Amino acid sequence: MDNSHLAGNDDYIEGEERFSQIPCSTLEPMDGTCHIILAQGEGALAVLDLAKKTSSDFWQKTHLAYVPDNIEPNRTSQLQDLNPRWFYEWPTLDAALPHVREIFANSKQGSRLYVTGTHSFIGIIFQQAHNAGIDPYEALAERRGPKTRRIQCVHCKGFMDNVATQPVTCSHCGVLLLVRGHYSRRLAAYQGVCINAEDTSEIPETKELFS
Amino acid sequence: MKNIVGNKINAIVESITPVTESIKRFKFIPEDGGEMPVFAGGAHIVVEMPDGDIIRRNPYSLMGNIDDRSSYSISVLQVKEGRGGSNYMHNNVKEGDKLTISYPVNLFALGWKAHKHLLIAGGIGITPIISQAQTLMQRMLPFEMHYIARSEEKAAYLNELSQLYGKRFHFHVRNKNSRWSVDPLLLNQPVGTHVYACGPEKLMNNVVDTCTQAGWDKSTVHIERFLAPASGKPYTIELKESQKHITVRKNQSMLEAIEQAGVNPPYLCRGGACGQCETQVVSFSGTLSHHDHFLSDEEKASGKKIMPCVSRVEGDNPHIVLER
Amino acid sequence: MYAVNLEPHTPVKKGSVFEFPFDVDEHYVSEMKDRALVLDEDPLRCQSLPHMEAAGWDTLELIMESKAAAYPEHFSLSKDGDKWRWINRPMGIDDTFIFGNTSTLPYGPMEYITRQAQGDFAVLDQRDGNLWMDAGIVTTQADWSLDFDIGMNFFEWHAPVPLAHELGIFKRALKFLLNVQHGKPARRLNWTMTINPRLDTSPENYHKWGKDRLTVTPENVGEKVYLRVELQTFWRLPRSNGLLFPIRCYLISMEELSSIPKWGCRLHRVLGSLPQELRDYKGLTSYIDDTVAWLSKFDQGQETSPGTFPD
Repeated sequence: MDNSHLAGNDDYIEGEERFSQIPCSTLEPMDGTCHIILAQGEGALAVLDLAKKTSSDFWQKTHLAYVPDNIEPNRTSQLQDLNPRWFYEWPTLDAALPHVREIFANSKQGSRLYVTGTHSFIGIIFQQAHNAGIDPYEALAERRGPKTRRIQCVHCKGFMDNVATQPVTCSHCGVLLLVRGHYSRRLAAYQGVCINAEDTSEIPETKELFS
Repeated sequence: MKNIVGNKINAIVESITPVTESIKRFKFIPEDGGEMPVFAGGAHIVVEMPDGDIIRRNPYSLMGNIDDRSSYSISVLQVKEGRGGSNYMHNNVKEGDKLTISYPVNLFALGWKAHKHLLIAGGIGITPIISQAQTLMQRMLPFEMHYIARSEEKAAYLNELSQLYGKRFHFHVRNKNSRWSVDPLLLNQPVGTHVYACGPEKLMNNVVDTCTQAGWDKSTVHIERFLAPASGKPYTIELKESQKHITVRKNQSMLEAIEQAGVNPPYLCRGGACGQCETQVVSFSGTLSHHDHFLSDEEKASGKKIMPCVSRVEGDNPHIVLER
Repeated sequence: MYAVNLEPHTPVKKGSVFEFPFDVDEHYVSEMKDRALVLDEDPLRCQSLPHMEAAGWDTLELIMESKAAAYPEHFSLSKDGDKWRWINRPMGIDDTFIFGNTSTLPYGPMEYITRQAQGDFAVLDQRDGNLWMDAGIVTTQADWSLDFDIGMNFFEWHAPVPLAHELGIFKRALKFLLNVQHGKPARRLNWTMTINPRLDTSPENYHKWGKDRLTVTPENVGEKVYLRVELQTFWRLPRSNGLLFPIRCYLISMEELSSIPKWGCRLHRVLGSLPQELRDYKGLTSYIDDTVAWLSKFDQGQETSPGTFPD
């Protein structure tokens, strides 16, 4: 297993475990019969950066899907100008998911996956890819937008999107959680564990760590 | 507890069956009458052949019924110009003979996460593919099997496979008059497909190259390479740790010569693929003739490591000092 | 700081936990009842990803064959083709099923047999030069969550171990494990400490048991503080090419442990020299000083005999 792609992971926080992190690096063109690119919000900029490195025939075998997610400015026309063979736009991740599953299911072995946007977006697309038989360890992801994390509370198993602080109170069961640098690709979430189990009267200072 | 913990199996050659002009099937039963350890598609055993003053150890893929624990079967292609392992099996081994075989080792296992399994066999490479197909059938997993041979007559088990696997089975003749290509097959597989190839070097390189260019993840491309050790001129070895000086004969591998001297490096495939017998080179004269698929090009060029199962020393005054 | 203390899993001493491949002791029936209770409360403690069924049958076969051979008075297995009959006398089980056919068992094969086997079990898939924790049953764990870690590779599930940047150790251990062969199982020991004889120290319930750590006083160390030793074994599974990783946990109180003078002396030295990162990781920080002080009376600087067995 090559973990070298984590070397350029700017979402890694010093002191955290390097080997279970959301797998982010920079999008680079790969060899393949077909390319599937999914961009959310500011991820559009990562796609435009990728386009500076691609050969001319790259876009002739590419599915490019854009999920603006109400993030301004809208980059639809800039992305369309790349002339991908197939271009799609869906307003949110929820709206995109059924179509994304369809694209994955109909793709040939050798299709390459590129995902860019927030951690939540990347994680959830990777879950879908995995279910379709695309090995996400061979895919590329680049975070654009805030560094907020998706968390699972280990106690009540509830998920929280866009967590920015350390610690954070579980919105489901109310336990004060330490966000561990331990990421599950299957759950598309970091692990949250009670931070003051030994003495619940001890309340550590809350810091804006993931933003 | 023999089937759970153990090392080697004392076996009796129960039967020898001709399959084609140059292929024989050998069926082994355990000498003590018990059960053989469980194996699965892709596994091989190492057969020990006492040949004069040396012991040859050749790997052969297990075939036969994976649920029949009473015996193991292998198929051996006689390579007349080879170093002697297959000739020994064909000419010297008789029904009723006792042979020592290893526990099964699997370096060509199925990828259980695959959504579809594409099996490709060339010639005698059919043997591990047969047991893989059986495993897939038994677990009711989707697969497709392609068998390539020079002619129908040379294709071992053709009728049996065709009957067993029906539409899943495809036979292709590839010779001077008929160039069947594997490429279109590889370019049209659904996402989640794993490919398994065993056969001549050329076929396997073809599969690897096409898949790499087409963007297949390396984890989905499974190749079984059993290289026969190269033959060549005799040369000498110094084993530094064991303080021994030995000669490697013409039809002997470096590993076999080391074993003959009473030193036993670990091994699994004995075919330059698994990396188990990797040995540090202290110094050498002549040139290192690397034949393995394990060391990187840089490692080979460095002259610091060698895979004694398949590689040799050649050139002028060939001699090597090993950290063993 | 870490050692890859792996060795062949061969029988060592009659009557010891190393005598048989899978040790069955006097706590068998009660531990199995405990397991059933934990699973009733939290079914996610036992999971198997869909591609792990072959490995599940491997696990069932290995444990049944091993126990029937080691403890014929308690367990028996008879086979008529693929029709198997399994008798587990201590638990009052007598089942007949078709090997390979999950619908003939009340649970999946891995869950079925590990509800009858002491210790936790991780079932690892081997692919792409790595091991993947893709199935398991974990009800007596030292603060890790199968539900969270399932699907992770060797480096990912070890990530919370401190100083994981000492990566060489993990790479060496992985290389060793990838090459464990059928017929040649391996083992290693691991340890931590726990408060009260609680086997199930799960992260899921950490907010419930974590406070126990503050109940230790210099006076009650002997009965409150337990050494927790894990016997980890590694088995190549021949049908799936997976690796079975049983983690068998044994607890002993400081009082009982120190009744063997050699053990009291040794533990005093180990705890006293433990780096801070490991004190934190093992969760010992709040009570280790009291424990070291309590154990000091067994350590007069004497030499101890080699090995782990009592003199």
